[in-house]
Amino acid sequence: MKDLEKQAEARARAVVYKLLADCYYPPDERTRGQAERLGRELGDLLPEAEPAIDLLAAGLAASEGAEELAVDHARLFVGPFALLAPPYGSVYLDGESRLMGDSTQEVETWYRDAGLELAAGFTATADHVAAELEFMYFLAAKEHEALQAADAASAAHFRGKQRAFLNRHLGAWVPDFTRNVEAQARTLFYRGLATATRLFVEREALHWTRADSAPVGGGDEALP
Amino acid sequence: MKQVEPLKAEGASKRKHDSRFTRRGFLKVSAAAGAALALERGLSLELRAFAQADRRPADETGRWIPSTCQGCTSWCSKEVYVLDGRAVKVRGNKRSKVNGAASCPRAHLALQQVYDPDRVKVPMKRTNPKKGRNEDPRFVPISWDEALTTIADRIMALRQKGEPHKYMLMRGRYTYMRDILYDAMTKIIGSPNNISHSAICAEAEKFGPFYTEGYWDYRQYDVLNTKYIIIWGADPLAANRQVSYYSSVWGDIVGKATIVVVEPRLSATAAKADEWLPIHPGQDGALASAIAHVLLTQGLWSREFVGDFKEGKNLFVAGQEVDPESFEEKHTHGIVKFWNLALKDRTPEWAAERTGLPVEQIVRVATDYGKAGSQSISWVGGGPVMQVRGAYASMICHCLNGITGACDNLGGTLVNNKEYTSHFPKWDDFMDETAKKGSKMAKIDHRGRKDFPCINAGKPGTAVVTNRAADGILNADPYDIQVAIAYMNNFNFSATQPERWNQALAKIPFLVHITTHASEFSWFADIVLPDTHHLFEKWGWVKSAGNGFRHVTLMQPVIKPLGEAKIDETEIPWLIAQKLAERGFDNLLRYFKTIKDPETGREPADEKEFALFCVKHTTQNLWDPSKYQGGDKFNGWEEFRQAGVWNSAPYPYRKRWSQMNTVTKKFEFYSETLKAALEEHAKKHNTTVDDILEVSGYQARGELAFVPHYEEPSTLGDPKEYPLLFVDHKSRLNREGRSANCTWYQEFKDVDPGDSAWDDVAKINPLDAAKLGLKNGDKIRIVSPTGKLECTAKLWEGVRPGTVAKCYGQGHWVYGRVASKVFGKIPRGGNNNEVIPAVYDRLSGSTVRHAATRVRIEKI
Repeated sequence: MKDLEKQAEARARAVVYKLLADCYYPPDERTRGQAERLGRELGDLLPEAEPAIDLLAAGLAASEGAEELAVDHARLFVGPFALLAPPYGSVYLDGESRLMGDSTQEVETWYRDAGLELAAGFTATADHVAAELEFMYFLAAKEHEALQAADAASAAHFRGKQRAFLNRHLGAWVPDFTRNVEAQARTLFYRGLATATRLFVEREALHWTRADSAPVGGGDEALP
Repeated sequence: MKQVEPLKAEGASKRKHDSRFTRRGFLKVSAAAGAALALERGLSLELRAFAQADRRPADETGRWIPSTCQGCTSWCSKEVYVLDGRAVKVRGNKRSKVNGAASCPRAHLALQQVYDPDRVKVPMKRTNPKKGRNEDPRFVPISWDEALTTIADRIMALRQKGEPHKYMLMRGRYTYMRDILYDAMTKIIGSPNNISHSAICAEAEKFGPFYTEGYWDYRQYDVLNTKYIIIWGADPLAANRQVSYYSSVWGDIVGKATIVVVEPRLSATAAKADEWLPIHPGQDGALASAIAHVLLTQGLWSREFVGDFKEGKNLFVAGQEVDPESFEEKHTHGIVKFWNLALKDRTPEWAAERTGLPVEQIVRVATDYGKAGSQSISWVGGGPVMQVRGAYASMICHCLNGITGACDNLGGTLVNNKEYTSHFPKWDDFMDETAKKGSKMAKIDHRGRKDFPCINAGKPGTAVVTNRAADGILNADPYDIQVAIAYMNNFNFSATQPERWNQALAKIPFLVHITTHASEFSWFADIVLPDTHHLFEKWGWVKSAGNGFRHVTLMQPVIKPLGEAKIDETEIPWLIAQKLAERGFDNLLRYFKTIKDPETGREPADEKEFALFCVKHTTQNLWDPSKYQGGDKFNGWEEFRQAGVWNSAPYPYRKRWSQMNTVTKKFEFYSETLKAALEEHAKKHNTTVDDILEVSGYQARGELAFVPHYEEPSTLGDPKEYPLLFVDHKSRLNREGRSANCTWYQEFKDVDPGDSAWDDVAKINPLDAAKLGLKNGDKIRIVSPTGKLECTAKLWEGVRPGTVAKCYGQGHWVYGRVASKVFGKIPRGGNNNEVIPAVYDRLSGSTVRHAATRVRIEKI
């Protein structure tokens, strides 16, 4: 891949991660814009996601008013009763369906090693889907930045980080999580978002698998 | 080499999306929507969940930090192992002389509670204005500011209308910070309606000890020095109180003492006892009367404590009255009157007919118990007393400790040791005219009415009637409740005949629920506020007694609260007070500011400081060396905080003999104290004590009302239609009915004798099961005159034939993914309270749980 292509791809992936992350926050006046942008960016990157994008769009356009979205978001991701699609990695990865498991601690370590901590206003746990998606955005953006600076070593470093974090964390539980959402959501919007998330994360996993199988020395995906 | 889908150039695909979004009427992309991301070349990093931080190593060295478990009311001092900000283990705080290093299973379940994904994490408001069991509240998150503003506006509106009494506070599990939210805030707003949960707990248990020895509280038992224990409907190895302590020493006790458990089902403690007396439900008073009869006729009373016949000859002969003048009492009052009025005909043969126990067993137990002398314990639990007429069962079972001289004695039953915590400053000066007028109105729970004497500690009309408040709200009697705040309670699950509560809660126009887990109660709330978990996230303290000591044990935030949780009893009232002050009513905030940091004299600046100062203020006498009064000594707050617990001096045996808080200062077999209280209540209603007893449902008339005595059980249901007696019991794993959403609770449910994992079973004697054609695993419906529940049949010899026993705790229809089978629709098992009628022991105000109803079983 040419350098410019690599840059563009890193940028596009980063943008999709960021927009996906934004869409998992409680819906507000920004949500429509973010979803629209997500539709465009993801559609370019992953044509298979078109049906999901259609759902997103239909959900936003149709009768699903602000309150409908807010209620669905709450029952899927916030509570206060039986949380229908817990958006926390540890619920899926640590075997006990609880928060703050060992995997949450690992995620915090990942953030810390990257020079990040959870923002004061972010009150969910570290392995919340929005945080993990945003962390992938951060790593992809860093890769993009390195590529722009023609810093191949750094770019490789951040690519390695993305691959490992996706394998160990986000990619390991997002399929189960999104299937919960797809089964439980009452709004087209969240069903569409879940499918879009799943397809994108699956594409990412495939992306890294292919990268793994590239001949040694032929790529820049060596682990840091 | 093509590896992945490359980024497409601007082209057809892009345009297609654009046109689609436009066609479907999307709003235009707002400038805020990722503008920074849109940069064609560079990506300026836009972080939302994160902030840049210095790289720092993980804190891999964990620490044990003291706090307190309130999974039951043992209130054990604990330590939590905190690793890098996360609670990972719990153990007993070895510094506590009450529980030491011991733990029971409940403490560990707390880890699954605090990290339960279903916890309330942020304030939420209802968007469906309709309330009912079939109405999804449709909660959505709101900010703390919006929640507090709404609450303050509602309270202000009531005060402006001159109706502050229509505000109500309902309390469930509390710490001793309770006075802030429960008492001071309610009174300063101007309402009499602070309604606690106490009457659905075990208040009747305190009735016997108070009206015999002037002590209104739970007892401690000197088990390591005793020779004989009779346990009445208590299960100390499983539930309440000092489960950790008793579990840790029970092995020693079994070797030293004879243990007899009186209960219709084989409890965890009965399984580790010498004898199990599967009594007919409701007949405890008959057995206790017969034991007292045997003790007296066989001359087994304590000469040292009770005294003796002047002539030395035992005149207690079955069926014969005794001349009171013939007996010289020492530290007791009225033993002969007691005999003449309530015991002389209560022979073992008489008791055998009622209790279903063999005469020989009654005689053997009574005699061996008496031979143990004062090193013997009559241990009264909720079983015999949380019954209609349970007040007198409480007296008759407890007074055995007076006959043997075990009261306040080595190897006997003990009261609380002295402790030196202090109260919050008085708030009377902060109550304005509106508040004074409002708080004098009659309470919503009907306490003190002619047929609800509710004589807490000798004062008529002072005991709460928690469960009656539902009827008060429902019938607007004496008025309608408009605004209510409740915390850590779940009355429409935990009180009997809960459907009344569903209807009552639906009727309250504005209901706020402060809770760690949204429950059946939250289902009816307008606002749900996320509460801190007591063991891990909260400032507070509680006190309890056991092992001959009393401890005051601290709860402190050992981790950051999950989500946006705040402390129910201190932080939230402070924030409400601020909002009220902004609206021109600053009395509450001004009062709160009088609670200063004892170390610096500084007023609290925010809710967090307020929470801390409240704890420091009330415990100052324990940790400030200049205020030292006794027990453990500390050099200051920090040392106390790090220890987490203060211990009293050891128990001073026999110091209360003839110094009791009764009218006569003696242990009263003839209760002048009860007589005075009943007469005061009768006088208030211009009637006689007999009339009061009649309208309150008791059988005693005349002098019998003032002595411990047997009353027949009052049980609902025609035996022909409802052939079985329902026996309710508690679980080793119930964290007060809050742990059913923990997978460990379900997985280990079979630690309760007779129960099954991941199921809710009704235990039926195989003899009854054969008659009913039931086999293990059958799905059944239990039907009482007031309700029904569904569960699974379990054939088990550990229940008395003619009874069906079921553990309380399951049957949540909401609460979480694990607690209910299909959330909001199908409960996992059934809630016992659905079949138990809302009836009362009206002298103590207690809600009845035992011997309350007959049931029938239907196969589904």
